[in-house]
Amino acid sequence: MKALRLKLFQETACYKKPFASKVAETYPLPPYSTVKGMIHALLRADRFISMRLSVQGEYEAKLLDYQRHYFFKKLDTVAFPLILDGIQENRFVYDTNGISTMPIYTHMLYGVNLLIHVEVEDSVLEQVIQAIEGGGIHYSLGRWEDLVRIDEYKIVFVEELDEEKDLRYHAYISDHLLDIDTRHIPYEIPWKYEIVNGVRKWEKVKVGYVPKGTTAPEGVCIDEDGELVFFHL
Amino acid sequence: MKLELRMGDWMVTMGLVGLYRVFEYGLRNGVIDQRYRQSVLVLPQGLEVETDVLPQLPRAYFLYLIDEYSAAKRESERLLFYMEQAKRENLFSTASSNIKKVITDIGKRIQKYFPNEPVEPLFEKLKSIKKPTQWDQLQECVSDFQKMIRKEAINEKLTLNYFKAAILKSFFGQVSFLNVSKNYLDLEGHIEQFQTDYIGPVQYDLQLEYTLQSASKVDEILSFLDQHVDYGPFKALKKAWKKKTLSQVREEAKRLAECMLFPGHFAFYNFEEMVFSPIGLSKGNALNFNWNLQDKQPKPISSLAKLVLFFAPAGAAIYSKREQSYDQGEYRTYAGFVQSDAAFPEILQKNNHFKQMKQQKDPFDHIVSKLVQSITTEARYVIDHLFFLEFSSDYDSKKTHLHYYHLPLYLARYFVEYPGKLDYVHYEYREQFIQEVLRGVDPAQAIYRYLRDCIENGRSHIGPYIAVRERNRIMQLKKGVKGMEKTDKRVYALYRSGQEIRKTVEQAGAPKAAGHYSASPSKKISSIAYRLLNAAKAGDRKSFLDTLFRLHMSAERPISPLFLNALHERDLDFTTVANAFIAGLLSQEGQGEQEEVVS
Repeated sequence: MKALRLKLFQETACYKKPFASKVAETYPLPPYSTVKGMIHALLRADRFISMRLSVQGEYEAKLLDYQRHYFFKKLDTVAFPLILDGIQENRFVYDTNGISTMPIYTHMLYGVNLLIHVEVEDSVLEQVIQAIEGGGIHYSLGRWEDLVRIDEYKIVFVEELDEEKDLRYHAYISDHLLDIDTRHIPYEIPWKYEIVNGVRKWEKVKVGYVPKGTTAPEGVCIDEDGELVFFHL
Repeated sequence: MKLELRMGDWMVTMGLVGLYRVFEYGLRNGVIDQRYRQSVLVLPQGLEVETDVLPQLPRAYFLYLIDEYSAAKRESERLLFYMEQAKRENLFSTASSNIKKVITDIGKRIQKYFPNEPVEPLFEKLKSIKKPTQWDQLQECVSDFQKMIRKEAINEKLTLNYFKAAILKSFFGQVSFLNVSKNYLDLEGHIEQFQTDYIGPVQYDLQLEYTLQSASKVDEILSFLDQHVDYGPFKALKKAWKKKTLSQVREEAKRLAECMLFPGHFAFYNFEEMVFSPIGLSKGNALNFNWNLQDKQPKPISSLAKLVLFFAPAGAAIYSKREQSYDQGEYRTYAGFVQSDAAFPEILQKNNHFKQMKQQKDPFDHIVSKLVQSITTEARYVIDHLFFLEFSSDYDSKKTHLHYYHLPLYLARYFVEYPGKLDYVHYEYREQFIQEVLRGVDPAQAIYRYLRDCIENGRSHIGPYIAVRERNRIMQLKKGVKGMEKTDKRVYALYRSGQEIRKTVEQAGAPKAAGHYSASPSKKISSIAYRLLNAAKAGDRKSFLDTLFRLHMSAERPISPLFLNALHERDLDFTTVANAFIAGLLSQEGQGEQEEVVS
């Protein structure tokens, strides 16, 4: 089968966990929903496009960033965060009833290298490539400010792995592929949502975060250049 | 009814560990009746809880915390320590003033809640103690005070106040009995409040789920809601379902929010600051943190999840820790937890182990080595993916420090192959060293601080050398190097060359030119060490080598070719070269033997 392989680099990134508000914790690799979101944004899609993803990668270290955040206390406030640092004789004051600020810690991954495989209909695949080549704005994965550099995009052929091979990167491997011998940290990774009562209700995928160097379990795939592929569905 | 509570995010797992600890404590100490002993079972994926046992938990919860944080125990230990100090004549005045402070502070609190206690005479007696010869009188006061504080009612009240303010508040803010307006409550009052705010809702919600399934007529559901009309969420449901048929009601129930933490249960609550303050934010004050500016129930959770999270303080190991360097920074109360990919029973056991070691004030590297070793699998090293988490949260300033420490494969290998090697490193620096390593950060900064401290305070110790060597080992393991003998020898050679230079400088002594001041050898060495350290910190190889050459020239000693590594970094990196040499320069002779012991 055909898939698009992306090699990405991010200097820093935070793939925020859903419950972590006062401290922004991050997943060790971008969850499927984030990667799916990036592809959808590239395509400017307005509805869900079915696809299969494989996410692998590594980072050098974790760092803490102490950031000022704006908090909206009212929905109907006219105040908005406007940064005027460095402007002379600035007498602008926020309406503190509507907005407040507070510094909070953000966990960030440093020096992130990612290897992503996307399997999707051929026509969509072409559109993604066109979007990468002709993109009008910066690419980001995670938060808006988590810039991403696309080091490689290539259509590759993927087939089932029939030999023993070790993981070159840390990877999310779907629960059903993991056997008892494969050590991993269990995660429930968001994938897609439907809106119920105005709140996103997530469909989650049970995966194991498997460290590099581990022998790949049976039933996984490999691409034509010898990179392992772990599709999530 | 049986409930299966699966572990998940760290806070949920922490809550489950806490719930089980409280249950176990209750059972062991007769707080929970023996007929409930099968009511909470440990499963590989979490806990199985029989709902009948829930009302038994609040009492066990408070008694567990009272036992764990007993004011009587804590203060007695403190006083005992000061009394030992007071035996020494030169320390008597400091120790006795410390004792007076403890007794006065706590005594005033006792006076406030228990006006009939004889606190005032004790204060009078204390005032008259001034000289070391009065040690016996001091001892008398202390034992009178201990008797007083050990009285059940007093210990209970003081401990309750303590863990509410110092521990629970940082987890939950001012919710339920933690609100200041509930300060007047006694133990029974607290238990009652816990029942009303946490246990009651869980029972109602579960009964509703059951009634919805089993009801044959809509009236059964409505009359059930009627019975508990005081419970907020039911009031709204009653209104909405009043004129609906059974199938319509069931259909609507499907559209009710579902718990994000324990799927399959109704979610009438929201994950926010008052439910779990370390990472939650107040719902109404941070609308832009919610998807699509949702202001009603952006992160729906069930009463069950709320209850489990309320047990999190019992699931964590609580300890105080100083961040930053040795002479700066303040102590903060941290809650720590060990998470791993293992099954729940193993996580439970690891956390019990972790808590026990933290209480003994074991240094972090020991804890890591022990935890790694206690679970060594059939393989030569552990592949288990351990991960430590600790946080310190201040509700008032809305600030949380949260740290993750992963134990990657190469570190697991390090802790198995070189256990206890860091023992010679000063406690504070060792903690910093390990924490930086666990974060994936080069621990060089901790070593710089350590060396600086040694220069400033004229300390001569083997510690910095060990730290340099262990850092190098870790860096090598990270690169995938297996044998350490060669690289260890190189580090040792650099350390020795530092020692030898020191010896030569010391032997040369201060030149005795009449009328001219000349610095002593130790002063000279400190100033050179400062210069070398600054160059190392700034990564200024030129300046480092320049100073090094001059030093060797003045000492008339040949320069080891190993120093060339400072430039080409083939065998060792610049930081290791520089720090090993500085460590040698700072250590005095006679420590070669010590090296034998620790290598």
